[in-house]
Amino acid sequence: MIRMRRTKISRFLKLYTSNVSACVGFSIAAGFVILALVVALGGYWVLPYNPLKQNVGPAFSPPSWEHPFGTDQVGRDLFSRVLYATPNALFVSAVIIGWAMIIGMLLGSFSAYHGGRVDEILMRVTDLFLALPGLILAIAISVALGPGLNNMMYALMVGWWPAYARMARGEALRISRYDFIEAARAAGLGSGKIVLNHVIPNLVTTIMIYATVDFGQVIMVYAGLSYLGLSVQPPMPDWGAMVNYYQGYVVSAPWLPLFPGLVIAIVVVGFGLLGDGIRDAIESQT
Amino acid sequence: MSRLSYVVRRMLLAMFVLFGVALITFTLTHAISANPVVAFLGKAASIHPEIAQAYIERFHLNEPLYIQFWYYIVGVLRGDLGYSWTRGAYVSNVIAQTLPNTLQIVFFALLMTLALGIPLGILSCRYYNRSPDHGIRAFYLAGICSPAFFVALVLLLLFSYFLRVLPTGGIISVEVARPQRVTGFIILDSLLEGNWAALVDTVKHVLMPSMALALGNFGYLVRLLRSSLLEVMQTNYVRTARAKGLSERTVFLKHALRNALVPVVTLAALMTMWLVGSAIFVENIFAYPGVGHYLAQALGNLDYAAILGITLVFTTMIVLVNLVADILYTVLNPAIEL
Amino acid sequence: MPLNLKHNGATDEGAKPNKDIIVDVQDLSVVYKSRMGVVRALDAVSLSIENNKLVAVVGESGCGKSTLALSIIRLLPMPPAEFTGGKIMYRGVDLLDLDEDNMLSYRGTEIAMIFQEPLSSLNPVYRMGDQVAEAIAVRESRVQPSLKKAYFYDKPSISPPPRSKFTLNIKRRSLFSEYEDRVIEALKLVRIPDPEHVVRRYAFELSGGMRQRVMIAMALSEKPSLLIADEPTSAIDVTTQAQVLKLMKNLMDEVKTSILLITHDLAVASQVADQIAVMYAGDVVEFADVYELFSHPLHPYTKGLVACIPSGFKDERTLTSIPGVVPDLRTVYSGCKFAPRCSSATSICRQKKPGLRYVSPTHVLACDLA
Repeated sequence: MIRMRRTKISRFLKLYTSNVSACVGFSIAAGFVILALVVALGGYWVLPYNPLKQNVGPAFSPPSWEHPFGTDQVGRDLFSRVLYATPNALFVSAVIIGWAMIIGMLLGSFSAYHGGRVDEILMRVTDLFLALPGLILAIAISVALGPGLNNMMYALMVGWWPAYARMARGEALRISRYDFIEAARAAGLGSGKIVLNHVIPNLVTTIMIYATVDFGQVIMVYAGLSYLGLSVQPPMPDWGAMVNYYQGYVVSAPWLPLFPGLVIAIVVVGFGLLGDGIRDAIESQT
Repeated sequence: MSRLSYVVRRMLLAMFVLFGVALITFTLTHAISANPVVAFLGKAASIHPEIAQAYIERFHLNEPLYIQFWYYIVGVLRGDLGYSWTRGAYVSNVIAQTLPNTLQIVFFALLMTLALGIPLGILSCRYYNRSPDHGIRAFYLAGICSPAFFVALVLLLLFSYFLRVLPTGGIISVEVARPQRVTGFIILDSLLEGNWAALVDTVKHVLMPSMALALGNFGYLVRLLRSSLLEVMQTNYVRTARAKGLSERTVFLKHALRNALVPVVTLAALMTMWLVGSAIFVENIFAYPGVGHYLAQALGNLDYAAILGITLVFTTMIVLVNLVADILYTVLNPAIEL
Repeated sequence: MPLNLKHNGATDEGAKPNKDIIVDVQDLSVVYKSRMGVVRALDAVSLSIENNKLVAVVGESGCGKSTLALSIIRLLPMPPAEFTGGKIMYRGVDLLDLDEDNMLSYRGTEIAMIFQEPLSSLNPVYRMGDQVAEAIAVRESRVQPSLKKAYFYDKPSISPPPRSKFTLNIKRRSLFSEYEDRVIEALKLVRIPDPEHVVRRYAFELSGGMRQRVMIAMALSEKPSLLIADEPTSAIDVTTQAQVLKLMKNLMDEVKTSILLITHDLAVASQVADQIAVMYAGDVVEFADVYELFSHPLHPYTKGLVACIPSGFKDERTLTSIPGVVPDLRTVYSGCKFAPRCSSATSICRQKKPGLRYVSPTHVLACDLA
């Protein structure tokens, strides 16, 4: 069994690495995660300049070797600011996706396994949430809770799990039809154990593939909320907020709003390519 | 007729969803602060206590929650969404003025998405896995992965600053005479009036925001159409169509494309949702006076009545769009069971 | 049944000259190139079909019979598939020489094809009447090109209707109503009860047998000289199967067409065929008139197949089967491909591949033992 697993994994890796865009995606995503961790652990020491300190260079200087992203209106180094905001993005996305996956898988699988009333209720609730535009809901809740990184995170968490629950439910329904579930039940396992040990492990792969691409989507929405001022407040740097903060200078100092936006785009593309690559590699195997 | 029962069922579901949304927004108004007067009147509450008192009485804020909810629902159904202190007008009035503008850009963005997405989807399928396919993929991926405000900024720089062909913002230049307000849609009104100057000017202002929205969106269409077409071209009925002696072009247009476009309708509904969400950012960058801009402003000033009123309106619109799309889908695909 | 066997190393000795051949497949070779290797689907296959005769091609899965069928009408998926040799002569024209545009004029109106699963072979969004009418329209437009109307999006004489997702059934009704009488006639021809209602139905609303009849109606309304039927009864139940086969046989006489029937079921073939070709692993191993084949099967494989048919007598205890498995088509074999499974195989069989030769004027065989 383990040997089968090993060859399956190595074949997957071979398929994956033969795909150029998937490798690009992986490098971007990996780079992002590593960078975020480095900055989170290292703090100011890792950055070329103090992101909050003013006048480390001439104000409004365009990108150069000393200031790869240029400086802003009070002379802060934009590159350091962008780097400093990276852990926020990773933290928020990881928590939201993690939460959505876990709650979604648990709720979805239990609901599918039990069926009946419980399932109906879950379906209605997810219908409600899926009919709402995620961004709007997140905005409304964010506003109610007040600005700040944590509040924004809670707001997003509320709206993010229904999609996963729906997906998990669909897969769980399919899996529950298999004979080995019947066998487990005949062996006397309680429904909790059955779902946890038999149903869920079979869904995990599909959910994780979706979650990889979704990671990028979370970052997009997070950037949007941050742009609207619902996340960290200036002068603390945050990607979306920075674009908003500097957008007035788009004509005079275009590097200021463009670089944070570009970084967001690159990270999202990275995760998108990563997810696509995984899905292609797995599909080519079947 | 099973289709009729399907429509009725979907409408009931839609109403259930709207009720749920009203409940959520109502709960949120009370989650904001224990004293909603402060929330809704802002700073004015402390300065003018008599206004605060009048407000409390008018909106029944002294009564138990379920009674307040009742009044809220009644109010919403009558079109009363509260008072927006940042604009000095009723929320519903402001929305009535700004919504047509947003709908204009969303409409044009949808057209552009279709105009861009369908041909590119077809090309991607025709040149499957060859360079055009990869090139198109790079293009649309950049589009859907860039945040809407980034795309908007890039377009602004390109067209307003470097090329100087399009205006930087607003909906109509100051010096151009506005048409009489008949429908609320400036483009339609200019057309009806024969006011060509206003028409051309408005179109120039509408063009960039619509492009920004479309560029961020067409990728979903290309991706879907490409996979849908690839799948359909492998089907047995396409093989039968060829066996009948139909030319490749007829097979493609009449049999393959017709079937491949069916999932696009459902996607169109989803895309409208995304367009409306992205419009918030795009309108902000272009200072385009639509609902999104109003929302961004309200967020900045914490004008809760406006925020929640807009949320309700947006959600209602989207639920309706989904309903229409679902019904349309059953018309286009007779095979699905109702 | 003259096959032109000279090119194949074998001879035409004993063949009866016959001007009545519609299709003459000569030495056809087809390969599929895949990630797993090059698969030799057809290995110098020869076959001929005469006017107004039903030829059945019988063989197990993977022997190449579907590939043969698709090759004649040239609907093979060409990127993986490739013609590596041979000719397909249709009334004196080599179909493999034609480019796609020229081949198009043969498809439908000269050579038609029906497929195994009628549900997935009919377009789910169009009604039955429209699909049959479309076939009639193809015939009309070929017979009288000036009549080529705007429902084909080719270089049209009249500009096509504006392309809109919402055209719905309006255009369809106009196409259909023009040919309504002929569609009903076509449906009556295939003995569909209540054709006026069936034309309004969608594919999923009909039963398997009805769907297959509609497919036959669609194919025959173009009045082809050859109808290729690729396992038309495999997806239907046995009783309906018999009905459809009988219908096809009757229609052959009514419409004066020839039929090439592909099937894995020798019993089905025996019911309707005039001649039967037996295929194995990409070769035609035997080709004879039906009575001749059953009374004197010569190839060991054919003998095995005939023995496999359960006789239905009560004292039959065990079902006979042919031991062994079909060879992998990616390998090149030096001798007879059936040799590993053949109980009478000799060393010559394993070294030299037997060519097709005439055993009698109505019996062709590829075996060195008989």
